[in-house]
Amino acid sequence: MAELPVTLAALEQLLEQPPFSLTQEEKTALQGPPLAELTEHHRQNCPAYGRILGAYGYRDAQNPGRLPFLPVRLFKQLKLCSVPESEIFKVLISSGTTGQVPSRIYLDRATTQLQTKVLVKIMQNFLGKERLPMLIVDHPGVIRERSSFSARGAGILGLLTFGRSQTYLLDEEYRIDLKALEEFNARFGGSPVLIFGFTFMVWQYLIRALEDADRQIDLRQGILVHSGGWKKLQEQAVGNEEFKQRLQQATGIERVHNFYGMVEQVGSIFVECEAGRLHAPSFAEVRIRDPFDWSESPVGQEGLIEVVSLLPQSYPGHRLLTEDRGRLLGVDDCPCDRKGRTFEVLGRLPKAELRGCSDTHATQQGSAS
Amino acid sequence: MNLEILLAPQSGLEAALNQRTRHLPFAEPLVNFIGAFSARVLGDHNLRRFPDLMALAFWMRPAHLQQLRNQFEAAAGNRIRLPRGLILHLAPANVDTLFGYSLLLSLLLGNRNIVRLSRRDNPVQEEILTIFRELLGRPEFAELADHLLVVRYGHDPAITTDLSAKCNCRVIWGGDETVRQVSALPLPPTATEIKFANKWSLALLDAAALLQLDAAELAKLARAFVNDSFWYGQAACSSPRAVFWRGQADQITQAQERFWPAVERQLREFDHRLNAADFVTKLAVCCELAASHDCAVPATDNNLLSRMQLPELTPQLLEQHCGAGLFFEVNLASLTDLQPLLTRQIQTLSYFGFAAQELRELACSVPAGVDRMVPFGQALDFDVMWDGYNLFEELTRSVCIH
Repeated sequence: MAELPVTLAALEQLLEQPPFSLTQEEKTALQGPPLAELTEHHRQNCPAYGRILGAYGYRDAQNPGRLPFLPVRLFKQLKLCSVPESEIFKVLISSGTTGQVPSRIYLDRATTQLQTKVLVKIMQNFLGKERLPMLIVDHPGVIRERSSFSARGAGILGLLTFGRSQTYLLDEEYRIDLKALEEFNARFGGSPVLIFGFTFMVWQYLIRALEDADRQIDLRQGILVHSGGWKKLQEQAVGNEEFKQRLQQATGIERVHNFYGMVEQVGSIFVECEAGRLHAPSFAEVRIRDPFDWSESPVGQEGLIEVVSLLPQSYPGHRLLTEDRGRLLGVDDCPCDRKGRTFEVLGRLPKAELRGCSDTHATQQGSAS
Repeated sequence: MNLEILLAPQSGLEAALNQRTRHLPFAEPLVNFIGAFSARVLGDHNLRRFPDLMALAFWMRPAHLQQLRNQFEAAAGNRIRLPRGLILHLAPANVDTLFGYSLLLSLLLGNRNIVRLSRRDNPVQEEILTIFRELLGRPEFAELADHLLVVRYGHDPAITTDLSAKCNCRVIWGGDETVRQVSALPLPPTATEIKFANKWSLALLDAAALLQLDAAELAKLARAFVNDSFWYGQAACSSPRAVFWRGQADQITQAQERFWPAVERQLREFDHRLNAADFVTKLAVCCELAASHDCAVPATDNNLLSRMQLPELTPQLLEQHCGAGLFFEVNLASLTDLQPLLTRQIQTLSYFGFAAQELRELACSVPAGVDRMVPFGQALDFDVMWDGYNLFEELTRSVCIH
């Protein structure tokens, strides 16, 4: 898209350097102009977004008004798209819990390609450039429907390229295929392998399944990459530490990279480093917002997570307020030597309380308009 | 059946349901019981954390019960008024204390009552139940045990149908959906029904009148507005969702510049109980509405107060409103412009700066809705006239002797 010269130039520059090499100061300076350009671009091309910005007093890049981000829930409620129908390449649909309206993210070819490039760039920083034998903690059916991907399918598809000899660990009934696992291990277990799955799937169908079968497996050279959120594990009171410990007992895996990402900002993900902190790459930014007035919270203070990405060109998703609680852990000071902000995710925001004399008003939340 | 009995005499629920109605409205044991409830709540320091429960107890204080009695008797004429009998009350899921008014009023009028609760995690509900149990355990109130039955069950039309078959009047709280579901279940042919459907409320402000206020008067007005709006996180049906300004455009702007900062000053001291989830929902609703409406969202100090200025208001906007301190603002050239917006779903108009005569004229323009018009600060005050029902009349029946 020629109409985003500043953004494309910035991305080109960022793709040529390691994704965690910029200090916070350098990064803030570099991201400012492209973000302003993206805001103006979406204002012009997505009428709904333009009206929202207008209501909050946006006039131009110098007078950006009072709304620094869109609430992520809006992608459930509105069709937010900045390209003509003919340029929509695919639509991502969030998994969303049963009964809830899913988010719909409209991607054109340029945004999709950018997402892939950036994801590669970030993951290589943690995994190295070599494609490793890959074990997927899921069943192959999850990526079969190609036109409208589930978030899980899209996540897996996005990471397939980092591996080779991809092997699925589960059958369609979510049963662990121990035979496939043993064969995989016999072939590749002596050297580094990549294991990928959604956090809950890894817990339930790899760790717990091995424990229940009273089996152990030696994947000590394995690197686990997992994502998808801790909600279900929190319900079972399992935190990151216990997860890692039980994983290590069952499989010998010591290298674990959780990542925080969402269907609304595919590509520019936040990966957990060796020191256990999530990192904002140069293509993205994270802020913690005080729910009382949306002001930025300093390091250490809990608030709502705002995510920023330079990638979304086909939908106005470059600045989003999530419904996740989090806390900044530091700036330019991680023991792993990667620069920029680090943070942790503390869980989902609880639901709004039911009040008043009507039974139904709280259920309007998250419904389609 | 999955029915949990929370409050019933030892003889059991079934026996209690078949008891005779035996007290006249305002009979001494009833007045004493409700007076004791009031004293028990008002005297309990632990209950200060539930201001809405305190307000209910204050309304039920003996002096006010006497006023109600006078009012009731003055309206009787030469009729003899009797309780209707067994009243089935379907409480809203969150047992908003407004519901407590209709229940205690029904008891005061001599009715036997069975209350259906649906949820278990409501602290005010638990406190009220404990106090009922305690009072009914006293020898002087023991005979009222069959007048105040409480059960809990989930959505089960079979149970509601069984209970409905025995009742003389059914009171449905909980909004449109609950009213629709419950009122489809049969009632005895002679029974009546009181339906509290979803309703919204509006505030009216005269810009010129507001500009004449001194600082203390302005603070008082703002305080009254905050009380009307922020109890129950603006979810009460009587809390204003929209503010209509009457005046010249520039006058209105000036008045808004005085009024809203005064409201924000009052909010600093107010126990609002809104949280992050409310603020996120409110932001999402504002953005969603802004995406399809010509509007402006002015700056405010923080997320407690959100304003949305619109050229006109529609019933649909009022329905999409999320509570949590969001106010639609519309300029009004004259009060009669309001008429088309007053659908049957509009309950309360709280007003400042309007003469009684103007309000009467508005009511006489035959709007489809509006049940009451009250000065700022009284929107949540319960009254025997509620939602267009005269509860004295609805909860009793008349015998005429000619």
